[in-house]
Amino acid sequence: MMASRAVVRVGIALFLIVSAVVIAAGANPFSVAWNITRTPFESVSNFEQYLLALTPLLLVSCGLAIAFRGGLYNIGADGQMIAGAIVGGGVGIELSGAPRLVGVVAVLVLGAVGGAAWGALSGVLRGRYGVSEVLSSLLLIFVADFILRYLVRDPWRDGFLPQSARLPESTKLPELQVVDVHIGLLIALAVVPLLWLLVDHTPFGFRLQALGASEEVARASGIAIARTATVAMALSGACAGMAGVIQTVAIEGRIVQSLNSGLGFTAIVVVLVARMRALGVLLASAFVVMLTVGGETVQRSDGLSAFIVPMIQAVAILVVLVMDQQGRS
Amino acid sequence: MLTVGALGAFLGEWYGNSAWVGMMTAVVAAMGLGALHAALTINLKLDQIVTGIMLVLLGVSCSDFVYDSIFGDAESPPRIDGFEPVDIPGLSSVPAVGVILFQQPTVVYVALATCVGAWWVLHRSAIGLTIRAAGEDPETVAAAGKSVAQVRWVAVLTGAGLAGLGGAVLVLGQLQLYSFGLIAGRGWIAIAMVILSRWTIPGALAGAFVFGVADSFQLRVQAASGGLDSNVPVEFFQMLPYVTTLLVLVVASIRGRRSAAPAALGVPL
Amino acid sequence: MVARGPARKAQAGGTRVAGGGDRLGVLAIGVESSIVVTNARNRYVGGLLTKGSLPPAVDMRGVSKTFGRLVALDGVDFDIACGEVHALLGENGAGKSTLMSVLFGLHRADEGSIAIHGTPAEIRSPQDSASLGIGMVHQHFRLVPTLTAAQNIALGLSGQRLVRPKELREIDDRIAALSEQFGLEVPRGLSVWQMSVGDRQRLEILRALYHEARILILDEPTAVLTPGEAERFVDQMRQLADAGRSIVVITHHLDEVMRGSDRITVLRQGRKVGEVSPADTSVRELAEMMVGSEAAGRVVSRECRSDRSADDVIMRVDDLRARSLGGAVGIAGVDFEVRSGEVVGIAGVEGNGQVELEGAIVGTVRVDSGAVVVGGRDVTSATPGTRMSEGLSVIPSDRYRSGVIGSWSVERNLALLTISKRPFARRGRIDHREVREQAVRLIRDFSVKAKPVTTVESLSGGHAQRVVLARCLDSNPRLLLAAQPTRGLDVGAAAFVRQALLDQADRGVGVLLISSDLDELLEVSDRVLVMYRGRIVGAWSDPGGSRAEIGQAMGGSHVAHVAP
Repeated sequence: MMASRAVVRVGIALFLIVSAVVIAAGANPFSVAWNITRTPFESVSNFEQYLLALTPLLLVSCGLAIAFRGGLYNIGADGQMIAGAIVGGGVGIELSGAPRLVGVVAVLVLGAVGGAAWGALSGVLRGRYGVSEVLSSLLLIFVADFILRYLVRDPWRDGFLPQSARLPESTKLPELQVVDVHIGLLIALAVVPLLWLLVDHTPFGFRLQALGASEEVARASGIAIARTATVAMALSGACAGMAGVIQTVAIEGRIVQSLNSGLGFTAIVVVLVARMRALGVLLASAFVVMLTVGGETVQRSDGLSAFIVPMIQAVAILVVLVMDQQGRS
Repeated sequence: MLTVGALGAFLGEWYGNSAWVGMMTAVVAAMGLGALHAALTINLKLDQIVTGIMLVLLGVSCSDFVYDSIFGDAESPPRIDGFEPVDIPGLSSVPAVGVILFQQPTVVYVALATCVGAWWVLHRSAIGLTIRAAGEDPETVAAAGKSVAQVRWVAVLTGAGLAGLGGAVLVLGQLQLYSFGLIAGRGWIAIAMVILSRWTIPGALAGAFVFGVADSFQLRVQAASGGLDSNVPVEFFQMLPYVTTLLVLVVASIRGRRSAAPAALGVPL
Repeated sequence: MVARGPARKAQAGGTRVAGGGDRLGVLAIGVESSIVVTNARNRYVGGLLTKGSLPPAVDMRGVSKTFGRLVALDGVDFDIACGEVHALLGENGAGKSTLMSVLFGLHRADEGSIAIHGTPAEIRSPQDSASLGIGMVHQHFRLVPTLTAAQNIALGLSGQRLVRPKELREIDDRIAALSEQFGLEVPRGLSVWQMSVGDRQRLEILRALYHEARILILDEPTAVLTPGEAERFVDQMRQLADAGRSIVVITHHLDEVMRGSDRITVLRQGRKVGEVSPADTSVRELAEMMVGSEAAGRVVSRECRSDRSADDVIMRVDDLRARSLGGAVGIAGVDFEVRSGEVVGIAGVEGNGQVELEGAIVGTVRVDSGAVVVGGRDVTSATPGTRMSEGLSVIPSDRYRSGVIGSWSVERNLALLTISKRPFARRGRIDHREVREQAVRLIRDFSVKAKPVTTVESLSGGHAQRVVLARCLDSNPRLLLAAQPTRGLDVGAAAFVRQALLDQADRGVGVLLISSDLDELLEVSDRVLVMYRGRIVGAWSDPGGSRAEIGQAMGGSHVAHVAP
């Protein structure tokens, strides 16, 4: 009873704060809320934009879910995305003569490999030397980011801005027929059931969960901790790397400096809210992306500051968390 | 919280016309956010990591929003005076280290004093003993008739206040202005430092020192080797603090093999 | 019962201690302390004394408590007279701990009443019980390892104010005074992690006394002590009672109950099944009350031990050395062999290197030098997985830390070792039906009281251990390492585990049993080695006839025997 009353109070408090801010900024909080929920599904082009934004978050979240199930708190997905973009994109630039099928597959696979290598580095450090994967993956974000900045500033630079030349047509991801969205979406959607299969229906997934539930028991049961951790982190990084290269190829069309977007942190929230379950990851990603895409529209339609939108998102997710926590206890 | 602290410090000085007021507002603003974190994680038992990340988002966007609505129209970023470097008479003229050690803005000394104070509190006072115990074994604390929630509230609020102070150091001592994204992941580095230091304050100081040295070292080397025209790309120097930290971490882990993390870190009670 | 109070009160004045003439060492301190405390106590209950009837220190009536569908306590009456040692007996899960948690304020009873020294009391929290003078010494000590004795006690002081070094010294002085008064010595200069288990226990009691506790609840106090220390502890308990403290002691040790208590209450399945005085009962009767008549008298069979062919060495440990894992000692040069078909027992008080030895054999502890050879292969630096493929199977000492995953179901825990093999995994996919069938079979064979999907954390200690045992034995080991396999188990479950170990030995498996329960070792082992301070200090090949010597060796007195 006490707890639920506290929840109501906190919820109301958060809502009032946000409303106050929204009103102070000169808008109607109810219309803002409605617009955020509505816009992504309002028109075909909005919905396409929504799906485009969903793709990388879903991929990264699935990857994190693998690591998290193994108790490996990979918070460096941003670094793995960058690594994927560097490897996949870097090779992609050179593929102008290749047939499109080869180009696309090569770029996607190499992106995944780059991310996997970056993730596996943290996995090896953790499995073999006991270095906290939280720290190593975090620090490796900065390392990857500086490498990327160097590459696009100097060796790969094309033109005035710090970015590479346009990627050749052969690497352009095919569009889906129904909506104007690239096939990255299909890949992301396919990874969701794969995640479920891998974690819940393979011996590897079983060992991974054992590692996540109790490293001591896993070790005493003869499970190869270092290998399991490395593979899990590599898979996790592969998903992030693929997301990174998809963003590079499909959205930017070139390798840009600003890949370190904080998407990895958003994905952590998605995965934890989803309690690391595949279906939950899908739903939570959909919700979070709705807030982002809807929020961008609201900036224009309700004339809100660009800085207010992340605020609303944060509060919305916190409210969901609070409600979820109450549902559990 | 660093960001909130930074903004708090900036606004405090802007309106209060005093760096000290700035420091106070920084601490208070950050503690406000800390209180929210404490309420959510301790009383409602939300996941500490998720809540933390969401509050980072909230804090940063709030600060940016407030700054934007007040100063958004200004042509150039408004500046404040901050703390002037103070000379400690006599010591600052010691050759070589004098200027570095004894001619720093006041906030820097406040930060160092805080380190010593925090160590003293953790090791020599009842509340400190309780905080350490609450980390090791919350049930012991509960059995000793103390409220774990209360202890954790105190700890979270204090931590938030210190983070605010950190933001104040940046704004008042170093930059003397506020800019978007000025904190640049320093909070995460701080977490790294704490883990690296095995949850001790002298260790955290040493870790921060290593990071700081690597950071200023890279600036010097960069300058010495010819800045942007150098053969070695500038990014590799910028990377140095992070790589150094990672290496120190690996070496420490190989040697230590055992984490001294409070056993109940992150476990709700 | 009410009449007993004043009678014991009179004894506390000196009769009782004077009567203990055979305990010379304790006698001198005992006399002093009783006098001091009696004076203090006269102030406390002086008024009541003259009336001739002292209300019980604790009077619990009709206490019931349910957790979900589980009835933990069902209308239990329980009282403690002033200055009495009252033993609370029962199997695991009988409700002893729940009853005491209700008294201590950790749980609230659904029904029933509590009166303390004759005054009805509402105990909602440990704070409430502390203010009523109730102190509890938990089985798992509530001490912070990085702090000293005085700092640990300072932790319990009220208020959030700062503690000055001067106050810490005052606390330290009072600890010294209390130590002397009650004969409970602790090394005051050390941090808790440097103290022996006995020291920690005494510190726990001192802490309760520091907080003016008049009623002490002791949860399994002797479980971790050497036989000698345990004996001394029973005396200390008596001494505390003679000094006017009222004591409840939760225990499994029937001998201690018979020797050290004034009254015994037996619980079974949440009900009180008996209240007797040691003079009117026997160890056998108590055991029957605890386990119920159907399970009593179940004795491990010792037949066919002579038939064992004991030739091939299945494991050899050569001059093994490893650093300590936080305790006082690691292992400092250990040699022994285990042959197939024999049970080798490693005796010793906990904290003498057993945990490190276990880890070195399993492969979770890094060895400094020496070798571990399993099945002819040197596995000193091999992973646990490799050792298992050589036929090693382990019942770990810390069941919940390295044995089972509490949040997982029984069937998943049972599948931990076999999941990657056929038929459980086919073409990279888990066959959940096979996993279920295995679980059903093992649950039946090992009489685990659970369904395949029950989580292990909801099982009692005994049934969780059956899960570990089932998984271990189903992997057809050639070498079975059983570390403290019956710790915390009730009589029936312990007998089941011991029988299983013997059955394995009969089947030709080499069994290495690390245990701190001497009776168990003597009952099951063909040879007993004693570990003390990280070394094997003695070996006996006729354990049954060498009980006294083994006990002495465990306590560190050197009477090394070399096994033939």
